[in-house]
Parts: sequence; C-alpha cells; structure tokens
Amino acid sequence: MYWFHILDLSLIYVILAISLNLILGYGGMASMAHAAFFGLGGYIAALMSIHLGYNFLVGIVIGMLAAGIIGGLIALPFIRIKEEYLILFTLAFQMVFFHLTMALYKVTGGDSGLVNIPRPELFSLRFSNALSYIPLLLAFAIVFFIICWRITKSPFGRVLKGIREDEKVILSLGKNVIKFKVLIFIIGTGIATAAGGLFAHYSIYVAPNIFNLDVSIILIVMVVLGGAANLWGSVLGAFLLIIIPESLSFIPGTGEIIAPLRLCLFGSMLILFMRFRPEGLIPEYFFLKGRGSQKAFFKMIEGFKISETISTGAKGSGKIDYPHDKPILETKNISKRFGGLQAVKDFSVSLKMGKITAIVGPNGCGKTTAFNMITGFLPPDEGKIYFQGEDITNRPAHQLPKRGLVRSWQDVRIFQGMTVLDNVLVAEQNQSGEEILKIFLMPWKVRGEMNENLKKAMRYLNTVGLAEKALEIAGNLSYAEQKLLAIARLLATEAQVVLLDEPSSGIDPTWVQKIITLIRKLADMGKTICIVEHNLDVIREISDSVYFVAGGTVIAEGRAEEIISDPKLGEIYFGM
Amino acid sequence: MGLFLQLVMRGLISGSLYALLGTSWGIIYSTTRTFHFAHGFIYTAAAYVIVLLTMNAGVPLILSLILGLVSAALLGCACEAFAYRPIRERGGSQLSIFLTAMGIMIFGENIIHIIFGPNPRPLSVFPEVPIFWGPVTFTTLDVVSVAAAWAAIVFLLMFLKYTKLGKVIRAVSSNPEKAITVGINAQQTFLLVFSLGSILMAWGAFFSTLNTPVTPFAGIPALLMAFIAVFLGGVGSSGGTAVGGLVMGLAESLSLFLMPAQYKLIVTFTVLFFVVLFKPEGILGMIEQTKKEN
Repeated sequence: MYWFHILDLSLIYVILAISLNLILGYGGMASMAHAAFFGLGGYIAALMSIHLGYNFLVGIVIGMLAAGIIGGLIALPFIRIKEEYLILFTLAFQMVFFHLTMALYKVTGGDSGLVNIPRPELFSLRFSNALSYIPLLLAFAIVFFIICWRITKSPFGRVLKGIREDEKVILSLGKNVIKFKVLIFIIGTGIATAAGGLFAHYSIYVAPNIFNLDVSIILIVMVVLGGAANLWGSVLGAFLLIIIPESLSFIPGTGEIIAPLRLCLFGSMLILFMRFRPEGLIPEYFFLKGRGSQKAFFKMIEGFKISETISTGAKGSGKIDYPHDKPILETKNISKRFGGLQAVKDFSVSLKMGKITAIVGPNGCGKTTAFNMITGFLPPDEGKIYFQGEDITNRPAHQLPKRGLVRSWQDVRIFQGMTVLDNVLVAEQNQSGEEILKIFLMPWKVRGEMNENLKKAMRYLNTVGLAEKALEIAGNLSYAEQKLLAIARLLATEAQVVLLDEPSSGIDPTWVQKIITLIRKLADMGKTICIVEHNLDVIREISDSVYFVAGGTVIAEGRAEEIISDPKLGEIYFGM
Repeated sequence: MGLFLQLVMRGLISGSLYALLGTSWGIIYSTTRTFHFAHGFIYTAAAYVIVLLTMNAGVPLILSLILGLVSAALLGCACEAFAYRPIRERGGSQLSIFLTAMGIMIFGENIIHIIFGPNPRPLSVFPEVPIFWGPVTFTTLDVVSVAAAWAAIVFLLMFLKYTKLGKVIRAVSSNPEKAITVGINAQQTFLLVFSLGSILMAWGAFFSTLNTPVTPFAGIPALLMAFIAVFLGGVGSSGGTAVGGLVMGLAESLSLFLMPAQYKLIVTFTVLFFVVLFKPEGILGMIEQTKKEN
C-alpha cells in the first residue's frame, strides 16, 4: 500500500508540476503561490463535499473558477508593470493563504485542518483506497497533460515562446503580450486547484502545512530539474522529487532532520541546475533533434509548392484601399524629451503609398526615438501621428500590425532559440490557434488554418531565399541570413506599411545588394516602406524621397540625389 | 486615544526596522537588478553568528557583532560572485538568477536548521527598561533600535550622495551600460553594493534579535518586510523605501484597532496591493523613463 500511496502522490504532483511549467517554463513567470492554489482547490473541494455533500467533480470545478478569479486579480494588474511584481504578489498570496487558513479556524479547522473528507464517487464507483485511486488520478493526469500539450504546441504556445525570447519584438508583431501571460497564468493556477481537489479527496485531510511556501518551492524545483518548457520533463521531475526524498527516510538516523534534509537537497539542486544545466534533465528540444523528422517535414510540405513566392502566390497580401494621393502615414510635430535631453522636436514626415522613403541623419539625431514613437513604443510628449488618416497617437504597439503598420529592429532581434519557420509563423496575424477557447472548441478550424499558415510561411521564406533552412534554429543562421529572416517575418504580418531600422547595417556588400533587391520588390508589390539607414549608397539606390534629420528635427527633404549631394548637409552628416 | 498613541508608537518602532531591512535589499535590487532572494539567508546567518558567538562561545558582544557584519558581507559577496555573476555572464535571464537565489535561501536556512536545531535562540544581553511617556510605553531597547536603524539609513543616504563610491553606485544604478563606458568597473561596484546591503541587513538582524529570538526560518519574514518596504516606497528611491517601511509598520500596528493580530500580514498586503495598483511607481518613486533604444 505504501508504494501505491507514493504513486498516487506522484500523480498529483505530476499535475501540479505540468501546470506550473505552463507558468514558469512556457510563460517565463515565477509563481510563488502554486501551493496556495493547490491548497485553495483542496479546501474548496473539502468544504463543498463535507457541508454540501456535492460530488467531488463539482468541488473541483468551483475551485478552478475561484482560482481563475483570484489568479486574474493577481496577474492582471501586476504582470503589466514588471515581472518582479508577480513574484512579490504571488509570495504575498501564498503567505495570506497560509495565515487565512490558520485564522479562519471556524471554517478551515485552523492548524489541525479539515478531516474526514468523503471519498470520491463516480458512476457508483467508490475510490476507497490508494490502489483504486490510481486509475482515477492517472485519468486526470492524462487529461491535463493533453490539455497542456495542446496549448503549448499551438500557435498560442509559439507566441509564449516568442515572449520569453523577446517580449518587445512579439509586441511589435501585433500580439498582446499581457493577454497571453495572464491567460497562461490563470490556466496554470486553475489546473493546480483541480489537483488540490483530487488531493483533498484522496488524503481525506487538508491542513495549512500541506500547502505552504516550501511546497511552492518544491514544485519550482520539479519544473527546473525536469526541464523548463518541456512537459515530459515535469513528469519526470515530479516522480524523481517524490521518490528520492521518500527513499531518504529509509536511511537510518535521518528521522528528525528528514524535512530540512529534503529541503537542503532541493535547494542545492536548484542552485546546481541553474548553474550547470539550466535546461534541466529533458531540455526543451529534446525530442526534435533527429534528422528523420526534418526529412518528413520537407516531404510533407512538398505539396505546398514552396517554389512559390509572394508575388506569384499570395492573394492581396494585405493590400488596403486608400487613396494614392494622400500620405498613408504622417507625423505632425511629434516631440520627445528625456530628462534634460530634447531627443526629438517638431518631427514631421509623411509617407506616400507604395514609395520608399528614407530618414537619414548623423548618429543620435533622434531617428530611432521617432521610430519608437511612430510604432507605439514611446508616447510622444506632443504632436500627432496619423495612419490612413486615423489618429494613432498613443495607441498600444501591439494594435498597429493588424492595422497594417510594422517595424523591424536595428539589431535584427530574431527569435534566436526558435526555428526559422516558427520565426515567420509567429508573425502571422489573426490566427485562431492563438485563442485558447478555439484550440479546444474548434480544433478543425485551427488545424486547417495552421496548414494554410504553414504554406504562407514557406512562401515568405522562399521569397527571401531561406526555405531550405526552415527547420534550423534561427540563432545558427549567419547575420545576413538573420536580416533576411527579419524581413520574412515582417512580410508574414502582411502589413502594408513597413518601417525598416537599418536593414543593411553590419553585412557585406553582396548581401546588401540582395536586401536592396528585396526591398525594391516589396515596393513593387505595393508596400509603403520607410527606412532608417546609414549607408548612403543604399539610400541613393532605393529611396524615392529622403528626410534629413539633425538635432531631433527634419531640416531638409527632397530626392535622394539632392539631399546627398548638398554640401551643407554633408558637413552635418559627417560631422566635419 | 491612549491606545491609538501606543499603536502609533509601536508602528513607528517596527516601521523603522522595516525601513532598514527594505533599504538593505533595495540598494542591491536597484543597483544590480538582482532579485536577491537569498538576502533572507544573510539575515538568519548573521543573527546566528552573533547569537552563537555571544551566548555560546562567550565572545564579547561588540566583537561578535563585528564578526556578524563581516560574515554577512562575505556571504553576500559570495552569492554575487559565485552564483549570480556566472549566470549573468552567460546571458541567463532574471528568472534564472531569482531561482538560484531561492535555492541558496532554502539551502541555507535548512542547513542552519539541521546543524543548530529548530529552537529559537535568544540574544538577551540588552537591558529592557520600560519607559513611560504619558499613555505610551516603550523600552530602552526600542529607543536604541530605532536610533540604530535610522543612523544606518542616513549613513547609507549620505554615503550615496557625498562619496565618490556612492556616486559610482548611483551611476551604475541609473544606467549600467553607460557607467561601463565611462570606465566604471561594474563587477566591483556590484560587490560593493552586495557588501553594503548585507551589512545593513545584518545590522537589522542584530537589533531585531535583541528583541525576538532568532529561528532558522526568521529570514523569509524579514525578507518579505524588506520587499514590501521597497515596492511600497518606490524602487530606486532610498527615501521612498524608508517611508514605505514606516507606512507598513503603521498599517500593521493600527490594524489591531480593527481586527485580531493574525490579520496583520493580510492588512499589510492589502495596503501594498492597492498602492501598487493605483501608483505602481510607489509612494515616492518615479516612473522609470524608458530610455532611448540607441
């Protein structure tokens, strides 16, 4: 019976560890309150079945709802400030939960907890001992594992991964980062409360000490040891960290100090793993290494005619109806001040449909600051920004790509740890697979769309010439290839207006030529392009018009030739 | 009215300690951006060094206090040099550093538990003479602790403001990359900050242990108080942290008016929750300007 008990306990911890992995491994957020949510589920289930005699499933569902509300209250206000605040407030909730269960002893039984919780019943089956509980727990563990698996392998999971890689870039690709983080937090805590309900009915006893901070920490160690962002890792972690410490108690002489000894072990594991094997026992890409799966992939997409590029394949690619004579993007006297430094002052530019406009100027002239204001990453102190005639000043950055405005980043900032293909896939807009409900309620729609999106992504990769490298890890590409990938990523958003921040910096001339051709092609397709560039040859070659910026403001505009050959501007530019 | 004044007095006394603990953690956090969870272990370790040397080994109090402060500084630097720095250097995330810190915390406090047992250890060397001040009562120890806390906080503020090293710390804290480009050695500055913070923590541990015996698990509650003071007052503002600590002490103490003592912590967190909800930058903090990308 003892080992059956250990197996039951392990299965409950498997559920807890995979749900914490959603938050910690996939979401990249530290929750110190996982044990408190576990306990919340336990107490709610216990109270419902003791006082109201409800079936255990009712208690579990109500517990999950309660966790959703509390989790949302903690996550929603604080995730948006900074990740540290989440650590603080989950720690706070963990402490408050402990103190409340102690203080409200009339309801919770205080220190001694609640006893004699009824054993669960289901379809007249009674689960009355450790052995009979195994199939029940196994069923729950499998269901939750599949739910977590589906979420993490969906486009939703891909966005989460992007958030861990580079939150700002994900924002610039039009994803509401806060929404994704809050949702995964709520789902993770919800599953933890379900585990609590199962535990309460299994052990027929709940008490504050079962759900204390140490347990939250043990759960974190399970996830880290097993491997963050790998669900199988958490299964392994849970089993190892239940069984190893249990075995410790068979060593003679450890009786009194067994509890601190275990915690010492956990603490040292955490330190050593973070130092020497941060990816854990089963790393994230453990199952993806085989060459065989790559072959299978390329065979699968053969039917997609990857030789197609966007100009031949895509329909419309985000073309919008907007009068050609009006500027599609316009800034009117925007200004920004950092402390004593006036970075941008009265900055006004306008972009014409289908044209390539360049912004040039010496280093530190405020180009990048202006760029950040236009794309919603910095609120301007003064002035207005219009896109397609609509005022977009102070709109959050993640809303712009859907309207048709995207940007690139100076130092490429592709998602180094993701595959080339995923880099492009994550940028596509309006994916139903990014919505949790649709993943489970309309799986056929999500699947169909995923295939469509895959085809599109391959087309974009083909356009920049990276189709063969689709399955490589993006960090392994050369710098020039990464720049091309960044452009493919912008293409995938299908935005009409593309702002490029130094697309040709840091690469050698042959590649520069490639990039120039590509940008030309985009303009020919009808996209409106704005580039910030240092290479005057590039500007001369591709830009239709040029704004010259110095001291945070536009001091000249005209055709590329005029601006570049103006000796006065040359003096400013080269600082002579 | 008498009870009110008494509670205010108690609130100010404990608030002063919170202000000190907060300042000690805040200086490390605002300069290095390390969520130094192991700071709680520094508290426990320093208290144990002082208590064991004084009560068990018969070392004079002053000497054991000094040894306590020194060992705290060494431990703090060890955390930085052997645990956090390697992770920072390989480009590890803030999360990995935090998890490491947590590992050190639970490893440390449980080692103390295993070696010295779970029992509270008092440091009863200071005479607690009650002082009656109208309706308000406090002890000589309270007076000394409050004075010691504020002396340390003012010392730190002066150090940051007027010394060369203090300016270096402020430079690193406001813009690490720029500080390096003007020739500041960031590694040394980090070590300096970890020593300073740890010494302040040990100083706080000493005075609070004079009052309440230390247990292996005293670190996390102390750490929690430090966190709250920092986030309540405003990250990066030492003055704010001091105010945060006082507000917290008062909130905790005055809550006794309305509800039993078990709810103290809940009241504190509720105050924190609403302050951060409506004023995320803290009572005295300023919203960090998003620096230009360049």
